[in-house]
Amino acid sequence: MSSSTSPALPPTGLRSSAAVSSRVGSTGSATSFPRWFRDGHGALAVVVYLAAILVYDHTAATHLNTVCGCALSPDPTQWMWSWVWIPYAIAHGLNPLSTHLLWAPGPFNLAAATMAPVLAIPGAPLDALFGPVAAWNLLAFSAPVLNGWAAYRLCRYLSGAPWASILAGFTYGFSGYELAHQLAHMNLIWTFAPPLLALISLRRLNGEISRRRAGGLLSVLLVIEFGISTEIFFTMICFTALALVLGWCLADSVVRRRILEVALVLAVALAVTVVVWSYYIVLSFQGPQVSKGFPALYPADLLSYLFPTNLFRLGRQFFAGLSGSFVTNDVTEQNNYLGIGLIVIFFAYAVSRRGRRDTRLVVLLTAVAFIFSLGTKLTIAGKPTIPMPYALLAKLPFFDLLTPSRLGMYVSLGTAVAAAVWIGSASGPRRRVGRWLLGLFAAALLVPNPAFTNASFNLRETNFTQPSFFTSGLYRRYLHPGEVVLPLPYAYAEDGLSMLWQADAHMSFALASGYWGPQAPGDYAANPLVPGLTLGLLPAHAAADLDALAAAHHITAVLVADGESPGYLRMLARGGWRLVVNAGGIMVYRHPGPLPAPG
Amino acid sequence: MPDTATTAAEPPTNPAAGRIDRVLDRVADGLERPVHGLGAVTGTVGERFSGWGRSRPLAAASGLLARRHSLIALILYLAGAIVIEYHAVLHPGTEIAGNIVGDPTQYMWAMWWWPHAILGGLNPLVTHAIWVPDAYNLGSVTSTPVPALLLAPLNALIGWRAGPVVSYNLCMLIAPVLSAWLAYRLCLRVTGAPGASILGGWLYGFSAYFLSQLQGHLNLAFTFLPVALALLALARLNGDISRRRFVTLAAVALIAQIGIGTEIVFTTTCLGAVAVMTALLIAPPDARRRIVGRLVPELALAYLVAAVVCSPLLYYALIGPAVNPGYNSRLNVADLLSYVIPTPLFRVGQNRFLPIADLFPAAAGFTETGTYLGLPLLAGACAGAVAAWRHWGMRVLVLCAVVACVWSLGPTLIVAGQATLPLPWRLLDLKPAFDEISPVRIGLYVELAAAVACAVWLARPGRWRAWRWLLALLAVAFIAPNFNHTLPTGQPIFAENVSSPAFITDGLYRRELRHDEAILPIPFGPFGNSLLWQAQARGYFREASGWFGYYPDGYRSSLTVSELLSFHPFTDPYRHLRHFLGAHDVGAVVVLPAAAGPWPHVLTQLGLRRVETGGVWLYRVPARLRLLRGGS
Repeated sequence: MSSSTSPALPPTGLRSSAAVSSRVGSTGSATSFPRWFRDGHGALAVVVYLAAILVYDHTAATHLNTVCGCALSPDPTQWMWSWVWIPYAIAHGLNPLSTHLLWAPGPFNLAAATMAPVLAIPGAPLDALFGPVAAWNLLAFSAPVLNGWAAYRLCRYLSGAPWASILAGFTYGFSGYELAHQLAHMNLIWTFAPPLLALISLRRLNGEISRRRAGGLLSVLLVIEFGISTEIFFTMICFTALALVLGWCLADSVVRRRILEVALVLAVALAVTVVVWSYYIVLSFQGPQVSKGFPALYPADLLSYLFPTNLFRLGRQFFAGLSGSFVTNDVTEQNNYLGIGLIVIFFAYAVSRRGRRDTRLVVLLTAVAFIFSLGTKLTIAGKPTIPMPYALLAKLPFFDLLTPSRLGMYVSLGTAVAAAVWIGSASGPRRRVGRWLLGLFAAALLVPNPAFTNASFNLRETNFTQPSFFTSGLYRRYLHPGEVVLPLPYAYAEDGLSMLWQADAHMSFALASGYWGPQAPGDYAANPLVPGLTLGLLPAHAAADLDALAAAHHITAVLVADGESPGYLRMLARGGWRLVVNAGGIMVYRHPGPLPAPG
Repeated sequence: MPDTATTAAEPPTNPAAGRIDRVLDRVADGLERPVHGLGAVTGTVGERFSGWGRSRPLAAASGLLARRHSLIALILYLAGAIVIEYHAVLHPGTEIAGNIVGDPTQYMWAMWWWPHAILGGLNPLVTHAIWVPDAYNLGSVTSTPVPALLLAPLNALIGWRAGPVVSYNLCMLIAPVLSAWLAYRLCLRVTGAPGASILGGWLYGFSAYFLSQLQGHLNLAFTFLPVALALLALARLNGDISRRRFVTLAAVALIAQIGIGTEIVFTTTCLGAVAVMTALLIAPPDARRRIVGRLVPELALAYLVAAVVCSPLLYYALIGPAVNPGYNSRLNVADLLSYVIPTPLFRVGQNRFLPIADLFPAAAGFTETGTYLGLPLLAGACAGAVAAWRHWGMRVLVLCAVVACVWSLGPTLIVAGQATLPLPWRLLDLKPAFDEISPVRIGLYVELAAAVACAVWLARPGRWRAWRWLLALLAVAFIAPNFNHTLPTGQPIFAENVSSPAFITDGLYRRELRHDEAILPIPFGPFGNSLLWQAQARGYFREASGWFGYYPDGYRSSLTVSELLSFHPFTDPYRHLRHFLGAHDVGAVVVLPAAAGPWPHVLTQLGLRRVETGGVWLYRVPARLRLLRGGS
């Protein structure tokens, strides 16, 4: 307990000099961690955030196991698959970070992908109890609540204003970033770590928790975040380092010493994390690098911070044409929307408190995140213009694998802090009402659009009902254990849910397919049929290519979902593949004779 | 540490307000010393009204000093104008600093028409020299009588061949200098700081608006009226000038601007009304009394005097047909991004933002995209607004700028060429008078407000002065013109050759044409310089063509006019053209070979014989075709 632990630093640190914390009469910051849960405002924040996500995703909440609060895309099937795979691998004495069941005969290196092994800890039992879709939904409901609560804690610490912090926590937990990634990216929706890391560091800086406690908490936090998303982990470490450097530059000599000490604690926590995940790290370096080139592909459009996409309720009808011109059509990567409300609040905060060092730090960090999120070239309404500083970073290792637009998360955190401090510091009833109205308006702008659809996605509510061929165990009668099958639609295709088929069948067959990133392994990518199946455009000699693929990868059966393209069936007929059974929504094809030898 | 001291001095409940208070206190203290800075704005915090607009530090300085700074400003602005328009300065009789074909010739034609009509005893507001045989109302178009009459002696002196072009160039040279110098005076009155005011004057006089209108709109390049009226209003409110002097000067400014173009007068009046109403809402009681009791009635009197003096022009303007009603007001609007994204007219940015600038409404030629402020000026103006926000004058300025900005965006918010939200202008854009306004040009007033606010910020005493100046100079650099930019034709954007063929300059027309004979010039209307030809020929011939704001009835419905404007003959061009020539009693068709298009072929097919003379192809129209009058 921090109250019983002698702090290593006297409690007259930055807080009193207002260099870091600007709390005004806060009672929350001095409480120890377990007391957080007895904090009435904190509990209220959790209730509010939980209510919000249940209202937003009410269809998924009421059809927990059939309707996924996500988009119809193969992305969510990755994590649903992993929640079956990891227990399966452990139970069978296999390496959970390498699988032969995808891209058979494999092995496929899952450490280089976005598997988020930590999420399997809650995900696997939930999947076993309620099914994959319910597991997704329950975790997806939890993420914004946890993120919002973490931001609430940080904002309350900095502002001392609990109500304003609840609002600010909402703008972070339900930010444009969060809502966009909830459509598909389970590993990216857990963003509680950055605000908690900032909070723990600040408390250590102010001498409110001991060095050992801070080190322990930071270690746990970093280990968890690494196991969820190495991308967020990496960017968080970078921004923390930047914050420490900027804080050091802005601080006086006393505070500088404390910043160095916090840096040391962080370094220890980082070392612990590296040790814990050392095997994972070694494997991840063996590749493949699935996000090579993303810095140029996924910058944030400058206008995307101000103008809403179809994902949001307010304004979407007016700005649909404009947001359609944003740099990427992938709505899951259009994750930067703040809205005019938060932007105005941020500038008001920056102007009204411009002389303070804590303000400068928040503004500088937010500005850096904003500028880097714009990627290698400033893109406005989809048009690339001048080079941006990230072009230099993109030449460095690790940075070349990042998706710049996702740095908008840190912009969102900066604006949340600004909102809490600015609204919370209002003096006088008129000013308070004005600031609250603006804050509520800013939050309202982030309300999602319940009927969010576009040409290629069914968004926010997707019926993930699986073929009964797998759910009823019918597959056992027609597929041999461990045999390699080719699923159609292919795993890459938008409706390619074959990894979920495999998970439903308890990994009883191997897939000549998979979806962990946009690139197929080299031996698959060499066959022209694979990109053809991905895009739904079959090559001229598809039947021959299929035979070659089958021979090379020992494919013995092709599974075709009911209602799939007739082109697939024609390809199979031309290649001499014969329908064995059409049952449970799946057609099973097998080749009667020996396939040509590979090569 | 200064920050620590700052924090300690702030009241715990509202530290930001405390900080501003302290800054203002410091400014007020600074007033005791002869510091040229924000003192004039906020110097008399307890006496806020009189503080705004009284150049107290300057008054404290000697008159010689003030005159010296004025002279420096004038020389600087003149030098700036000469550099920007150096093509025209080097070749004043043949080149202009712009790239629009057609529009500049209106003003050159007016240089000839007004003295010609007055000396000849004709009604100068109605002409039969163009669009024959119709009577064309010059009151409802941009006929610019004031420059034409003021420069008539110069034209007479240097001769009519070069005179109209020289006069046009002279006007374009004077326009930014005048606007900038008056803006300097305004900033000086507000800030009391000559350096900051010189920069503020530059930001207004050489703004993006001017660079855009320099392309060919003389009537819109003169933007002295809003500044002059603001300057006079401040002087009068502070009692620095007498009532008679105020009314006289305001009336003169109004008359001069009406005689150049009524659009600026109308928009200045609208935004002036907004400023007055806003001031009445937020100004202290003393200021309100002076505005109601002094400014408004005296300004009304000045308007009345101007209206009486200009009544013939205004009468014809009111009875004349509206020019493209609802067209400009809906299409010539500002894109929201145009305030921060430069077009290729600017050196900083050049073509890097062309893909975005090309999306702006009315982006062709970038003559109607003059709303660019640039990030440094925007930042400086915002900083100025924040710094002096507590002064009601600054609040009026900011609110006017916001109204002007929203107005400039037109009836629908357009972002990167995409129409989005409906805007308040929708309520007015089709109302009489408003329906002829191009909203994008209202950006001028945003630029004026930004220049003043930036000067206020720059004039503040205290720390970061060097950084503030650096940013302000960056603001100037950001609106510097891009001399390297060329049009797709290869023509530089700030230079256009308007030299006429020898047929005109050598007087060959006298040999080939009869006096007062009507010609059809090709290229037609806005695509050629036939108005200039006529001016250089001192009206020797008339034209079945022209290029002012509206087409007369006899031309608007003509298929031949549509064909001539589209460069694309329709299915039966021969019949259309034959009827057109007959209906308008055209005696000859004068074709510039370089821009002839398909018309020589059509004319030959009509049986007209080509005579090559003085750089043109002349086709005499035989009497048998001219007898078909009224057949169109």
